[in-house]
Parts: sequence; C-alpha cells; structure tokens
Amino acid sequence: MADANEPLRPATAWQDALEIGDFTATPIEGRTTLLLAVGPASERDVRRVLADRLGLDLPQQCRAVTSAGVTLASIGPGKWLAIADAVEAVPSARRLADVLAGTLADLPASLVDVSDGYAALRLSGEATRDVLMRLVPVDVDRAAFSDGAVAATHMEHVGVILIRTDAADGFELLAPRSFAVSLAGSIETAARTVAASRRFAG
Amino acid sequence: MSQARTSVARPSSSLQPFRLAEGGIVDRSRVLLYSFDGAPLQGHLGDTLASALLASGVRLTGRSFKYHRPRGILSAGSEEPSALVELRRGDRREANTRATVAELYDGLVAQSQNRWPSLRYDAMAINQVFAPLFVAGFYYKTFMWPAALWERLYEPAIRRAAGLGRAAGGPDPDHYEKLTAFADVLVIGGGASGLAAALAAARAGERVILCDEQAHPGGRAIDDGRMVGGRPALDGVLETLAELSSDPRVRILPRTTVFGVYDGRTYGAVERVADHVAVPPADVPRQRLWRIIAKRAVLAAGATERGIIFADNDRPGVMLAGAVRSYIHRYGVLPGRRAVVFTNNDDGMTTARALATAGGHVVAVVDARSVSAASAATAPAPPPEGEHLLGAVVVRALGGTEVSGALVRLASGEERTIACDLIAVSGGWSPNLHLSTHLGGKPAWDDAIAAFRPGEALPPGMTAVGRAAGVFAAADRPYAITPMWQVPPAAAKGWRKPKAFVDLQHDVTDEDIQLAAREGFDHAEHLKRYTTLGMATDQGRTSALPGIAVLSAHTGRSLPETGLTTARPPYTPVSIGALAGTARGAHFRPVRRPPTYAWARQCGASFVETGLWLRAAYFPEPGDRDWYTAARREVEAVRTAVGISDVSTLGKIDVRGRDAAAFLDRIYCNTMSSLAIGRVRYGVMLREDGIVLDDGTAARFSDGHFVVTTTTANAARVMQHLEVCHQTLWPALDVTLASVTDHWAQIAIAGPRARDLLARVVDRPFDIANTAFLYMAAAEVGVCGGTPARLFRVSFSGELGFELAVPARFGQALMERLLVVGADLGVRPYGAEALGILRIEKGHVAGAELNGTTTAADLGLGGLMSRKKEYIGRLLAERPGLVAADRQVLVGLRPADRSARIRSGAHLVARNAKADAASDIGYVTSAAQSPTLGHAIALALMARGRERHGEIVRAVSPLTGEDVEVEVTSPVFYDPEGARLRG
Repeated sequence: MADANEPLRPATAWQDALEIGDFTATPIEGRTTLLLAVGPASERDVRRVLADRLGLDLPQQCRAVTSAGVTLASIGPGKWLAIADAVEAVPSARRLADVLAGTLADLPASLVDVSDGYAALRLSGEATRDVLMRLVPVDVDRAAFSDGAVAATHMEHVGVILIRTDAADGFELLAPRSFAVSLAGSIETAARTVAASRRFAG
Repeated sequence: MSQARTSVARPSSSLQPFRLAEGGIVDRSRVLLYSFDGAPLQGHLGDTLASALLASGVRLTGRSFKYHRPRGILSAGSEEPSALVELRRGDRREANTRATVAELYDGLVAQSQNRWPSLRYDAMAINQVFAPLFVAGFYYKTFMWPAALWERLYEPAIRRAAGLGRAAGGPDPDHYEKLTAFADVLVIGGGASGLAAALAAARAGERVILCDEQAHPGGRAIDDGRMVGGRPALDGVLETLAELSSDPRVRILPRTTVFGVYDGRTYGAVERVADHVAVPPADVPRQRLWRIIAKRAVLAAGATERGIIFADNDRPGVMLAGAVRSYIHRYGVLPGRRAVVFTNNDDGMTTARALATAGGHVVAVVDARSVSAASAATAPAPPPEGEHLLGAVVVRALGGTEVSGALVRLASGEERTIACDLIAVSGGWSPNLHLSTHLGGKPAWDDAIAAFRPGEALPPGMTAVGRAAGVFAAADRPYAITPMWQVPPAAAKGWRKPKAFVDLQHDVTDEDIQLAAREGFDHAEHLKRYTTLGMATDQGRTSALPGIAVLSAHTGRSLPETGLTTARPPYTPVSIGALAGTARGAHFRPVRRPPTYAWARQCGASFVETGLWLRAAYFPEPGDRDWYTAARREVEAVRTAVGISDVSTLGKIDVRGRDAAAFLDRIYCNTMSSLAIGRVRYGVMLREDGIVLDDGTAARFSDGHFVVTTTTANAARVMQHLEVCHQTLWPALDVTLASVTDHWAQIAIAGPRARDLLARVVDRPFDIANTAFLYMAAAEVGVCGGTPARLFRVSFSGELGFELAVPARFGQALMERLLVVGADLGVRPYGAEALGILRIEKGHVAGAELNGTTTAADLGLGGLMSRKKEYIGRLLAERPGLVAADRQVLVGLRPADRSARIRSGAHLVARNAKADAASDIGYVTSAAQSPTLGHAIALALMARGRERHGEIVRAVSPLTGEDVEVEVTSPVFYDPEGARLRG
C-alpha cells in the first residue's frame, strides 16, 4: 500500500507550452495568487499601509504594478490580485498570505487564496496581438493598453484577466482553471489561423 | 477628367471573343480554366465569373425565381439581382452566388439554377403562360384552404417550383473566424473618396482601417477608366495603396464588406479571405467576421445605378450603363458589339463614349430627356457614330434568351426597331446610404440627383463622403438627370402582355406594385411585404427606389412623401458560417473540466454535460450490461462500504467581513448568524418573488468568514445574486465575496467506511472520531502530510459522509490516493448517475425540484423560513397563491406493482380519473430504479400531496404510453430517521 503521508503531486492546469509561428504561450504553474478585496471606505488606508510597511504600490483601476517581488493587479472596483512567483507553491502562498494578512489585520480588507482558481499563461511573440484579436474584445494596441494595463474581459464567453507585462508583445492571461484545457484549444486554433493566414496573404 | 484610351475590340483568344486586347486590371498572362453548366471555359486572373462569362460570350446565366424567365448579368457588383449561380461541388456547393462578385479561380465549377432540364430549354418557363395567376399575394390568396395541407403539400411544391439554388447537404468543410479590431477611423469603401479619406487620416497619424468590397480597391476610378492629371486614375490608386500599406497603423482589407452598424460605434464586416481559391489552405479561414470599433467612420460606399422600367427589361443583354464601363475598364471585356444606350442623364453618355472607344458600335443613344433638358445640360458630346435620339424611350427589349433589338419610341411618337445585342440603361444613381440608416437615421430626398441621400442624423461618429453622400460632381446639376422611372407601355399586341420588371430577383413587376396599391397596400413598408419587392438577397439595391417611384405614380404622392423602406443589416448577404465563427462542433461553447477529469477519462468513465461541466456519469467495468449495472455497483459501494466522487462542480463562494453573518441572514431564509464556528448549516435562498433560488450549505470558519456552497447549475447565478445584493441593496455592509469554485477540488467520501478511509489521509493530530468531529462540522485540516484542506461532515447520500477540499492542483492526486489507500475497504469512485440515485433514495431536492416554480414550503423546507428576521423573498413568499392549501408539494412515489417503472415527467391523475389536463394533480420530477430498495422510486410535486401519503394514484406518460399505479409516500425512502448520517 502506498504511503498515505507521501505528499500529493500537483497536476498542471495546462498541457505543454504552445509555439506556433511568432506566437508562444507558456504555462505558469505553481504560483501564489491572492484576491485582496477592500471596501471603498478603507481603500486609502490599505494603500498607505501596504506602501509604508511592505513597499507595495496598490495600483489604480485597470493597472498592475510589480514591486518587492509581488504583482498587484486591479481586476475590478475594490479588488486586486496579489501574485507572487514561487516554486514551492503552498508554503509561499502561506507566506504571502501571512505577511499581507498580518499587515492588514486591523483593516476591513479580506484576502482569499485563489492560487488554484486561476490558470496563468504567458503570451509572447510578435503575433500575439493578432492572436488576441481573435480571442478577446480588447484593444491591445500599445497606445490603448500600455505596459501594466489590466483588462477583466471575456474569452469564448469565459471571464478572463489580461495583463500587459512588458512594452513588447508580452501578456499574461489568467483564466478559470476548469476552463484551461478548453481555452487552450481556442488559443491554439487562433494561433494556427494567424500563422496560416500570414502565409496565405504573404 | 477624361477617359483612358482602351484599345479596339480584338479577340485575345477565340475562346474569349469579347475580351479586349488591352485595358483593365486582369492579368492576361494568367489563364484560368473553369466550367459553366459543364462547358469548359477560360478567363484570366482578376476576372469575376460574370466578366469571364461575358468575355466568352455567355449571357444567359439562369432562370428567374417565379416565372423561370431567362436572365443574364445586370450589374458588375454586389447589387446584382439577376446573375445568381451555384458555385462549387459537394459540401462546398453554395447557392445564389452573385456571378458579379465571385472571383474566378482555376477549376471553378459553376452551375445555373432554377431550370430543368437545361438552362436554354426550361420546362418551368410554362409559368410565364400562367403569369396572370401569379400576381402579388398569389400564395396568400390561393393556398388558403385547407390549412392542414400547407405544410405537407403546398409549401414543398412551391419550394420546388419557385426558389433558387440548392443548399449543400453536408456540414460546411471550411472554417470561419471572428475577431475584434479597433480604429480611430474606419473608411467604408476604397474608391477615390475613401482612399483620399484614408490617406488624410493616416497622414494625421490616425489608426485607420479601410474596407473595400472588391478584390482590388479603386472603385469607380478604375471602373470608369478615369484619367487624372494626364495619367490613368489607376496609377494614383496604386500609389495611395502603396503609401497606406507602408503605414503600420493602417490596415487595408480588400474583399471586405461592412454590412452593419451597431451600438457603441461597432461595425460588422465580413472578409472573404479565401472565396477566391478552390479550397482554402489548411488553417486559413474561408471568411472572417470583423467587429470593428471605430471612433469615427467615413461612409464612402459609392452609389448604385438603377435601371428604367420597360417591357422585357430583364432580357440577358440589358445591362446597367455603369456596369458596361466596369466590364470595359476593370476587366477588359466588351459586353456587346452593337449597343443601344438608354439614359435619362449625362452619365449614359459617358458609357456610350466608353463603348465606342473600346471598339463597340453604339447604334443609338436613346435619351429620355427633352431637347431643352438635354441641351441645358453640360453633356459630353455623343459618340460620333450612331444617333442621339432626344425625347425617345426604349419601349421594349426584343429577343428570346438574349437581346436582339430594342423597340424605340421617338419623340414624335413613331416606334422603330433597332437591332442590337446590348441595351445599356442608366436611370440614375442612388447613394449607398444603407449603413447611415442602421441606427434609425432617415434618408433625405435630393432633387438634384433624383435620389435619397444620407439624412442629417448619421450614426455617431459617421461622416458620408463622395457619391455615398450624393456628391457626384462639383456642378449644381451633377449629371443632368431628368427623372424617368418607367416607360409608358406600348399598346399591347396579342393576348400576352409583356412584363416590365422592377425587382428582378423576386420577379416583381410594375403591375404587381399597382395591384398591391389598388388592394390597399400603398405604404412603402406594406408594399414591400405584400409583393416581396426588395426582400430578396439583394435587398432591393437596384429595385427599391424604382419600386417606390411606381407606387408614387400610382398614388399621386411624391417620392419623398412615399419614402424608402428601412434598410437594416446586413447590407449584403453574410454567410451563417461567418456569423458562427469558430463556435461549432466541439468548440460550440467552452467546457469545464473538474480537477479529476483526466483521471476519470483514464478510468474509462462515461461523461455527462451538466451546465458547462463534463462530469463523470459512471465508471463502467468489463462485462457491464449497461450503464445501470455500473451505477448500481457504485450505489451499493456507498451503501455498504465507501464511495468517493468529485463534487468540485458545486459552486463555492467565500464570504468575509465583519458583516458576513448579517449579510447571509438577509440572503438565506434561515438564520446563519447563529451558526457556531466550525459548523455547517443547510440553507435555502429565495428569489425576491418568494420562489426558491437555490439550496446549499454555509460553513463558518471564523466570526467573519463563511464558505457558501451552491448547486452546480446555479453557481454563477447565486454569485451574481450575492454581488447584486451587496452592491445595490446593502453597499454599506462590510462584506467581500469571492468565487472559489475553481480553486478547490472537493471530493465526497460517503458510506459506512467513510471515516476509516478518511482517517488514513487526514494528518494527525486532527481527530475525526464521531464524538470529536460531529455531523455538520467543518474544519481546516492537513492531508497526506501537509496539503492544506477543508473538511466538511455533510452528506447528500444519506450515509456517513464527508467532503474533503484541497487546492485544485492536488485534486487528482487525492482521488488516486484515496482509491489506493482504501482498496481494502472496498472503496469505489461513483459518478453523477449514482449520485442522482442516492439523493432520490434520500429524498433530497435538486435542479428538477428547484425548478423556479417551487416555494420552500412546497419542498418540505417551510420550517426553515425564519419569522424573526427580514430576508429576500420573505414578503412575497406570503402571497396567497404561494401559501394556498392546494399547492403541489414534494412527495415520494413507488409503484403499486413493485416491478413497474416510473417515468420522470409523467403526470399524476387520480386512480379512476381520465388522463387529461383537467385531471392533472401533479408530475414526477425525478425518478430512479433504487438498487437499495429493489424497485422504482420517484419524487413528484403533487397537489395536497402531504395529505395523500398512502393513496394510490396513476403516473401517466402519454409520450411513452405508460400508465402506472403508484403509491404516494414520504419523499424520504431511505433511513428517514437519519441514524446513518450520525453514525
């Protein structure tokens, strides 16, 4: 009989990375993501406390900032995701949660671990914008969607979050984990269409 | 502006006798082979099917919709009502394609339609003889009685006789896609005006999208072979396109039609990506649907020429005068050698000169204008040869399947026959204003051009320019038009009066319109629906205004008084495939996979769609007779040993904040604030109208932290309900909500050995003994050496049960671990089928009972409804109708003859009542064959059901012909005392 106390092996949300033409989608696994929800009355206090004690900058609506190894992304009124890259997912989630919770203890703000609720993909390559045109109704032109821009939008009728991570064509896509395989299929279809259409037109 | 020189007609090949040696944008070095009605033909790269057919001398292209009259090519663009053909073969066969927009490719197969046995000898042309019968409203008047025959006899017969091409039978083998684009300026139309607008916007640094319907932008600058500053206008077009193409902020979309304007400055466009090749390369979509969101739009869609109504004006060889120029200048094809030009304006003169320059013989220009009107105009001189007959009209086109002459009535009244093979008609140009009216704009009448142009109220952000705006030239009288819509018919000779067509695609004649007006359908919108004028796939592009003119003449009202019918999207036909995009087959909608999906698939599980979720339905084993064999085995495992099931699909909502308990008290009909930390409570939420919204549990982990579960089906609805309540009703409450459905994998562990199994994975020192972890307890625990988990002692099956939640990434590993470490306990996975049977045995309600008509009391949950607090739905739940004594309430049923089955959906009637609606006293909501009890059981909603326990009634299912006697019982068939839950 197997050892009941052997640690459980985590499964990945996505399958392999996808590389088609000038487009690459790379799964980001094992990361810690917390949902920080703050009532309108206490937003100012939370912003001050995070800046003073942790050096974290709580971004404005539809923006993301990375500081002190943590990305804070605004995903709606009073709601932010706090994302920390981590190899050992669980202890790190605890650490980030503990630090934030400790810092915000006296404030009317809540922290919920949603690390496994979102499946994340890093999208890159020159064809990314053409692929995204087929998937989300968001203007991802640099002028309209600059570095650090966040959109809470939909892909195939599923609510997703899109973040522009760098001024080149680098994006991060957060999708509900249960939809990951299905959406990966849509992303692959779009990427194949972009590559084939470029060859056809070119 | 003058015309480019086009060389004299000289056949470039004996196969293309009407191809000019020079001119046009076709590539004569590229010969394309194609076939029409089986005849091998050839054309060139850049041709449309229509231009290639004309080059080959083919003019008869099809038979008309109703009368099966011979029809040919009227226009050179998307407005074509006449030359409709079937393209391609097999599953790619497409009906009613306009030959004028179908680009030629090597191997193209085209067929004429609506003819039998052949195009030239069409048996159904006999309809012409009976034409007096087929007047407007013919079907309404004729096939009235008996109504029962309509579907079975009349409609199929009519559809065979009338109608156009045949649809392909199989699924479309090509694929399509949709995308969203953003622009500062959307330019609709790539003619001279559109190109100028695009260039100006691009030079100002704007983000521009330019859509042009044709394969090669340029519009009438190309069609008219214009010269600008001594150079062909085409050169300027190419230079502009080159500059635009080099700008990364400009997107040029040829073969793209903007077909609709929608709210939020959104425009719909369809790009024919690969219609011009036989088979699209792998992964290249056939067509692409664009949603364009543009701050501003420039409507530069040009204008559409209309004809003049005269007898037999539908003969192949009668062509719009502007189209004649398009064939000469764009395609290098001479549409006829001996031409009569019939015009009421100067533009017809331009065509006469183009024909003459290209080597055609213009026999006569029949100019409907009076001597004074024509001489007052700034008309270009008529061509040297041929006569300019002022004040004359073409009374009738002569010939059978092709034009052989024109019957002309001179100003003097004398009639003369002129032999010709082409009648080029110019009745004036109508601005393509359609997109300007999609959001409710009204067109404005303009006397100077004798047409409607876009009105003052354009869609937000839209500007109209060029011919689309009614601007034809700088002059006051742009092309010196004297309106003439309809030629007064000649005195009829013989018993069959010749027909004069207004709408060629729907075979609507001037007489149909007059008849409709006589019968009272004299409003433009009524006329359209009664006669079907303008309702064909061409949407009346060439016929709407002439039709209105005929109506005006009949009613004596002016044209602006009569008004146009409202143009709605789409401007040109859009294939359903493009609208569907990628959403077909397996991609019809996204699916959700539970955390153990891959494992269940490996186990060979059969899946069932519940909402968007793919859940394991049952786990078959070799030798199973059917699904029930597997489901029964799974039920037995739960009842006698232990079963495990992935219940992650249940909605999970994290509710936090100082006011979380108060918030939930207002949401649930029962009280949650009194719930102790570490405990779970069953709860029911009502809609505002007092009907049950959903049921589930709430677990309290701290003073201000609850985790709420919902049913699978209602997860999104409940989350939305909670958000709406918080944001709009009680924003002041300190509550935050988070959906954590996807974060947690939740596994139900149920059965007498459930605790033994659980003990093997829960980390010490947590104590799960019955005395330590009570029924309806909840705790945060560790499993398998440190994985954080939440444990709930709840049960849906009636057995000792737990639900264990771990972060989703560990769900599959936990499932596998439980199966391994519990093998000696007889553990089995169970699916949705077994889960359904277990809950029916226990009398738990689910989606079939929470069906939007039931109150908490109906479901036997009335006791939960608190009288000590306010909550959503409380007031309206007290309405007399919702508390009436005769409401249908939840009961159990079992067959009087225990071997009988009960059908879900069967209706209940009294034992000796008639099985009809009047005797209906309820219906079966859920039914199952109970392995535990050995007979059928069911849950039902039944009037006065609680008073009827023990009574025998009948469950009647007229659909399956079953009529079964059943005994009314308590809905709880299994362990009604609940001893097993607490064991």
